[in-house]
Amino acid sequence: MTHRILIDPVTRIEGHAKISILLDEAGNVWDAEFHVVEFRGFEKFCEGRPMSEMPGITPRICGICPVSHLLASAKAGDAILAVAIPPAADKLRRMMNLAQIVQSHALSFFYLSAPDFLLGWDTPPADRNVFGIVRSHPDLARAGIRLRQFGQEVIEILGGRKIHPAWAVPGGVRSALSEEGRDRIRSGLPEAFRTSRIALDLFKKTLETHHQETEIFGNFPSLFMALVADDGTWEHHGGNLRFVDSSGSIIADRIEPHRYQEFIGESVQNNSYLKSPYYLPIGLPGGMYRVGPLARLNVCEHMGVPQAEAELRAFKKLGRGAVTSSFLYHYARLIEILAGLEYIERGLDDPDLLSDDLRADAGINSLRGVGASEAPRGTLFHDYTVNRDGILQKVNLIIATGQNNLAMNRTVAQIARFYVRGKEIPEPMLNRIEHGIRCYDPCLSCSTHAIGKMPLHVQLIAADGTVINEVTRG
Amino acid sequence: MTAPHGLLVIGFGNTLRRDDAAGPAVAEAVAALNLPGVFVLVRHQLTPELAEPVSHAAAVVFVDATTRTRDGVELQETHPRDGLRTLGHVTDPGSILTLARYLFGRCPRSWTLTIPGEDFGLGEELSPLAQSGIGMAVKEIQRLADQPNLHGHSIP
Repeated sequence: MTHRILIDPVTRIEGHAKISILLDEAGNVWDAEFHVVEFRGFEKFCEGRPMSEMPGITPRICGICPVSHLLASAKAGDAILAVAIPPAADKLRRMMNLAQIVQSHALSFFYLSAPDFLLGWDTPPADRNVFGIVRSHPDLARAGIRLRQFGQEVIEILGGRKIHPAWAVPGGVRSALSEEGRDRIRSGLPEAFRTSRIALDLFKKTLETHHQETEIFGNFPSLFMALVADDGTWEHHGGNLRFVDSSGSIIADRIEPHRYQEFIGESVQNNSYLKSPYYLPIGLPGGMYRVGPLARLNVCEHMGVPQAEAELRAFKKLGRGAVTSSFLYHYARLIEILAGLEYIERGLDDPDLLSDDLRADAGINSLRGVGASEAPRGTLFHDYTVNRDGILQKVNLIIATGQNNLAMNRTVAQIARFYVRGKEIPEPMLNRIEHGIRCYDPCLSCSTHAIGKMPLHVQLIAADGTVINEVTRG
Repeated sequence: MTAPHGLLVIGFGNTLRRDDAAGPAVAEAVAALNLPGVFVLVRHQLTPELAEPVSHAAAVVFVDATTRTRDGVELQETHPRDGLRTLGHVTDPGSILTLARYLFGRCPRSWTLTIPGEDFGLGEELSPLAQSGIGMAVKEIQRLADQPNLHGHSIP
């Protein structure tokens, strides 16, 4: 709706952000908190609905990454039916998830993050945005938009043209890939590969002049969690959970997703609706972990496709063990785009994609089902409990953004400690805080993705709790 | 670049937030009419990659819900923004037009058609206010599609 598209949560469902920077008695930054102040209640809203409806409902959780919810929901449904889905359905779901990763990462890099490091951190916000990129690097801006478009087209070719297709269903998918669709996807790949390489080269060059950002934008020890294949290959839709620490050592492995509650606890901040998951065996604060592209590359040992494999080898040299700087989420995203394109290209030759054996039929065979999938921003869990009629009794969703919440707090504090001096909060400092959050590409999309004008509320809070300065914008 | 063609109707909104679905509902209704030269896209929200199809259209109508008025549908000509609006995953018609102009070389004449709504809670049922607006909006789009001088205009 017109006047709400900018300010109202209806279509901007991801919410607004608030950051508190806490000062000690000497006036130095000692901590920061990132708050999400909008309550959505989607889990409660779903109770009482038939389980079979969930792949149609849950994509509405997010207008940005509906495919991720669609696929995690369908997987939870598979578990309730207790079926192994046909190979063709699994491959088709995988292709859609790869396309989702490509299109989401493309937008994050080209439109949301690149303006900062291409145009300069201290450039006025009126110019430091995608239109600045359009003016200074029009070919790059066009290539970025077309790469995103490619990913979106793959999703539409697979799932139909309507938004939020209930294409993946418990037990499989509704339709195969047509030969015409396969050819359309194939025809778009060369340009997508070219853009992917351009972006990788650009970011590697950027790193040469961004040592400080690499050092202070979320560079700290933490755990990392992602799905990974049993042989250590990068995963995005199957496999099991693995945790590694910042030395790169595996601390928990081959955890079936339905056991996530044995390893993930959820703490609650009294001033945010975003839960803060942590690694349960260690507890807080040591159990902070990160998810998403950086985590996936830290957790895996191989990419499984040649071009991305070569990039992974170079990437891993940036860390002593794990790569610990959140600024390098951008780099990881670009490697994942390349991997996604390689996997899509490889998959197109598989005759299974044209198969009509797409769905396993069954009744309610399990009263609980957990579906996990790698969303662009990290591991997504859908956990459903149903009665014998398949009616949902309980729903628990653990989203990637929540799992990065503690790390985002830490990142903001690290940046604030470096830049905040006294009571003033100058705009360039605000921008660096925004970027610290933007590294994670959190799905508070409208608030955290709106470059230079993120609806952001930053408070400086003294040791006695007094708000000594605050800046609101957007 | 291909020659511009057709009236592109983009209906957007969240179909699980009651009256916010008015834009998609109008787009669906227009699509069902199979009007010659009219193309329809339904979107949850406006995103930057819409700039390319917009640049290919002869004219564009963005259809959305609004709480700004209760007095019937409003059709307002929409112009490219002057680059000040920032862009994230979600954007607005003016920014889409700016992107179309600078990235794809053409910005067609465009309008935003708004439908009054009053209930944006969770659910799929539209209020009587929004339902009545949908019918009016479809007629407005039919009227636009019938204009003989619609095609070929663009904003330099």
